[in-house]
Amino acid sequence: VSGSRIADESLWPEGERRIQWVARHSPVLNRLARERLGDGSFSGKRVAVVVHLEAKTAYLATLFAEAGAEVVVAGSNPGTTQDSVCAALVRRGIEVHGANGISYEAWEQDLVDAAAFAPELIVDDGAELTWRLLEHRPDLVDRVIGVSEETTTGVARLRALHDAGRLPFPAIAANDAWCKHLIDNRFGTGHSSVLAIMALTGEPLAGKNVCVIGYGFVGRGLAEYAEGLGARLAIVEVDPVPALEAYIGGHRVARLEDAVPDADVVVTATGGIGALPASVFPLLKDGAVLANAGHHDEEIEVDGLGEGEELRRNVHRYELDGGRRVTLLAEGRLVNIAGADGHPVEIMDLSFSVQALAQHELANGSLPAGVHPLPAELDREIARVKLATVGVELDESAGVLEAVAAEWGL
Amino acid sequence: VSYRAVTDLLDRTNLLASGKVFAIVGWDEEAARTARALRARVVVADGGDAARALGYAALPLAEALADAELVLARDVDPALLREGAVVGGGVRLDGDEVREGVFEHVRPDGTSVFAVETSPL
Repeated sequence: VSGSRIADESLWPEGERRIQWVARHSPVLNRLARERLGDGSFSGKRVAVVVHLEAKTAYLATLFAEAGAEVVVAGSNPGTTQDSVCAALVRRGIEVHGANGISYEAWEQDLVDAAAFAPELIVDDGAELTWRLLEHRPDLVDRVIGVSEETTTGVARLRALHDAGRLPFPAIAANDAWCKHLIDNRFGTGHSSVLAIMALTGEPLAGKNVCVIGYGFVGRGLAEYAEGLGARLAIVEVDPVPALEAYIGGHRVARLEDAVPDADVVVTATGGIGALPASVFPLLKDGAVLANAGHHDEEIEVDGLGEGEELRRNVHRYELDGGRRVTLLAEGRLVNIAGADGHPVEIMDLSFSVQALAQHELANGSLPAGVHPLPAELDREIARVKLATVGVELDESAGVLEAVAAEWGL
Repeated sequence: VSYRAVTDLLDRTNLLASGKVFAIVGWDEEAARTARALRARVVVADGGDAARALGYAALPLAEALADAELVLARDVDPALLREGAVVGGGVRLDGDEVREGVFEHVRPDGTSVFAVETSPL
């Protein structure tokens, strides 16, 4: 496709197989999103999809294209792009800017190129494209109908932009939808991150001390799965409410410098930068494994580890003072995406259904500039369709609540 | 290390265990515990009292496989699997490779099941 910049077009067969596997296991996108997107709302629209560029993202982009949109795709992180998927998308006629392992400068250029596509609708992750559009192409901002945002970090960035008077179009916080953050952030990240850690290290978590830094939905999910697999948890959290939740939930809650010395595995899950600072590296035990499940590649201050030795792909060993050796997974990038295939397909079926319906709302609505929630009825619709696809029937118990209301004369 | 049969199955397929019926054919405590930790609803085929005592549903083979989306077995008759079931643990079924290490086996009625290369049970 004219304008695309990818690594190797010949890789398309593997990417195509991956996309087709996703299509087989995405019943909500196939039923609900495809029907909604196909109502003509996207005919001729210019849609940019900037999310981790792997097969699930590719399938979402394909659905927009099937609905008549002109689509550009770029990766939201240079370490998570799958080159075979990029090639398959190009073969499907979609413009792609992305390649695995490129420099941050090249990735930045990819985003600027995606902004130059003049998108009207943006599916964003971390507000990466929104930010570049505002910074680099203010001439194209008036064309934007709206953006839907995938992550906690991105929603925070969009709210900051709005508060600063710099967000001139509406955004829907897809991340804040129930079918997204209650499921994806918690179960999706927890499930895929513990599997990635076990696969990369070749060891089970049973019997290990695992330190989770950050107890938002991602941290909760990590803790639940790791505990289930036999790990002992220590939670580091700065907010007293989630810290209390972790404590009542039976986890040890500790300051970073108290939790780290015992930890066999340290996982960051804050969405912030420097969650595991170099200043605590002297406290790490010999053999500790470090991984990041948050948003930023910079959650672990990797530069402070010095020169590492690559043991195998996505596994590096560093020698610290006193001969202690620590292992860093996926170079400090998102361990589940850079080190494995990312969230399970069924999780992204829900998350991208949220995105699809948010985009449909933007394309058809007249929301003012600002950050808006996904309408609750759309969230429920996604959940209802998902439950139907797995054969779960809901009890129609509204009558009980109506009786309570009647009792009070409401 | 039979936990690896579970994790390989999920790593190879990028599928979710949570919420799914996960059948394990024959009693393997480590595999059952791992699948349960990943929030699957574990049923053990021919697991007997040992499985039942730890809170797992222990069912006859055909009954255990009837609803299972994910299966671990050393060997299995594909006719007993539900449509779309994904099976690992040592099973080999003829078919095209649809993802690295994942083979689609088309049954005589035209429906498919998938065999995954994993560590053996």
